[in-house]
Amino acid sequence: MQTIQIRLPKEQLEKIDKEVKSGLYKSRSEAVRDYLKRMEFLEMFDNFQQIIDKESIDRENLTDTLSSIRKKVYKKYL
Amino acid sequence: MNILLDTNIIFSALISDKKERLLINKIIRKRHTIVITDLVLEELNCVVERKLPQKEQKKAKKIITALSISDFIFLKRHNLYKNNIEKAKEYISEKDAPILAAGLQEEIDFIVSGDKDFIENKKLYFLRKKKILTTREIIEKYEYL
Repeated sequence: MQTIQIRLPKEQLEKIDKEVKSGLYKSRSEAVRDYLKRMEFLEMFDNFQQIIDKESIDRENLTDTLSSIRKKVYKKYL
Repeated sequence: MNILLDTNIIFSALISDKKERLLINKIIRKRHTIVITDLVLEELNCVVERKLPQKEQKKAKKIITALSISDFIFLKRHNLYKNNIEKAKEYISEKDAPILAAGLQEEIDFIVSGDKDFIENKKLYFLRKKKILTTREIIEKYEYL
């Protein structure tokens, strides 16, 4: 891992320190890493949506397809 | 809390930024766990295979895989819920039994689905609004989420 220096507004730093103090994180670094991981996770949903938008795929059609799929695949999960 | 999402919920969150995305955001921000099953994963991949152009399939499947192995989603595999399948079949059609079986496990706090077979199923009324909720219901009822 690399060490970097970052500047944060007082309020954000207070929030991080509060979460460290509560025991949720061991350190400020761990808290920042976790925030970034959560952001990356949520970004994946945006990335998927971008594919749908880029290809102009009809969402209703996708949803209809999804409803028909379970009937075809569920048996192996019984 | 462990919140099991049916395929329709996670899929809606993937294709639009409406209430399902808000729910995902809330679950993640409040450090609850999203639970999905292997059936959900297969259904998502199937839609991608059927409906997305070849060149985008790889990217889309990569996202689905990344989600399923992320720290924020617990992927419940068949061996973890198979013992509940017979019980689930008493309440719901066979095709939905794997989802209900996973959701009936003690550690699951809520099952979120938009499927009528879960939401309007009279046999499941004893769980409605307590354990089985729609996206809107869980967002409105459980503001602490």
